[in-house]
Amino acid sequence: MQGNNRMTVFVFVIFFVMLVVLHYIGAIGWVERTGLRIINPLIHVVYKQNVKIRTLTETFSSTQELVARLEELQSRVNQLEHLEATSAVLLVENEELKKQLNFFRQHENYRWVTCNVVGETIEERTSGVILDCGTRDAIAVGQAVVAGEGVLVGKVVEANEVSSVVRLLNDSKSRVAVSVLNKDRSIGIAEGGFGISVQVTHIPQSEELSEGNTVITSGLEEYMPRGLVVGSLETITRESYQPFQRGVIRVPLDYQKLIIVSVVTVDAL
Amino acid sequence: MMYSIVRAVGIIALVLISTVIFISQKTLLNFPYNQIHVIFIILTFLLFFAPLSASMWYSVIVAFILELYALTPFGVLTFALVASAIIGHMVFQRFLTNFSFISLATTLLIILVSNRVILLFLSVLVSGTFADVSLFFELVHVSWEFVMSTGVLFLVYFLVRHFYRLARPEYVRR
Repeated sequence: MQGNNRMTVFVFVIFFVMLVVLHYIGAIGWVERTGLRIINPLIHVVYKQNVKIRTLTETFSSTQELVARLEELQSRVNQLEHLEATSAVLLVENEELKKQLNFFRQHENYRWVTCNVVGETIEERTSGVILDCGTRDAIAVGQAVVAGEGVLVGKVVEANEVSSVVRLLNDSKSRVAVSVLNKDRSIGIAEGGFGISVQVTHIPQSEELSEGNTVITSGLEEYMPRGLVVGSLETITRESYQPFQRGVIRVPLDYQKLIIVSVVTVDAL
Repeated sequence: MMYSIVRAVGIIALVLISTVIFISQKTLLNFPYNQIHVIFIILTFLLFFAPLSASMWYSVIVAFILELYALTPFGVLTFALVASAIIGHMVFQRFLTNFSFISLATTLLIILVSNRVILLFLSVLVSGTFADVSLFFELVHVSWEFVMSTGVLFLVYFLVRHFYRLARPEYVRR
């Protein structure tokens, strides 16, 4: 070894001894911490990529192992598909609940009960749904049923202890006292039309209706608070020989897709 | 002055790259590819093509960082790596003397084996028992390290040789 190199080795041996001594007396703790602060983020970045790669790649020692893994993964895919479908339903429910909650937050004087729609009424040419809450949840006949952000969808027509039946607004026998938000604040009745439409009737010919006018509940009947949205006027029909004019209401919700609704209880009145 | 700064920056970059690769590769690659010893490959090249002080600085800083991620008592890894570098340097200076691939591979082997032996010796010294030592395991381990690292060394050597005059076997440093 040449003289220079001997010197280098000697210097580094001394340096090494000092390094060890300084480490054990804690004098170079700040150097170690700085080193870790620099290296750790770099290692973390690489490690994250490693984990990503490891989760994407796998090695197998035999065909049987591969087949077994394939079957396991197929089963897992089935489970995940089921989970995905469940999540989609939950997502829709969550969105609906948020909307309803938002509405009731804005109307603190309302009291409500949230219910699941568990089915539809069985009779033909009717339009109704079954709820999973009943009189034990303070549900009573005549109460308003809303969905979304305060959109009236029907009224409770039957209530037993654990479930109740709601007549939707588009049922032929549905009648709700409504008000049109035009300059006359016209009062009328929203009637169902064979399960396919909702119309506002009993509005005098003298009052002016326009397409797009919002129709809300008038609050002139028992259990029905004022201000629940029914829909907006789509078409208006005036017959000169009739005392009243009528309009078809475009409802903002598809009544066939109701999954969660809220029943407004009497405190709102 | 400028040369010293460039050299220092180069060594720090090499240290950072090699330690990050070394620490990460155990989880990234499967056996036997994770036996490629990046630090020893770089150290071998430094011993051949850079002054001894560069190799020593590299060894000390790399080992110091590795100590922070190791379970062994502080100083063991640094001592083993620095001692291996010195042994590799001595062998290269006294016995090999040329820049052929065989010289490079031999130096790598000597560094690997000496490092392993020193580590074993120190771990026995620290723990006071041979119970944790399996010579067969160590032999297999070093063999794989040598085979895989030599493969990479071979590739890098021919790239370096192509672009770097000092790396040609016919060139002898005076």
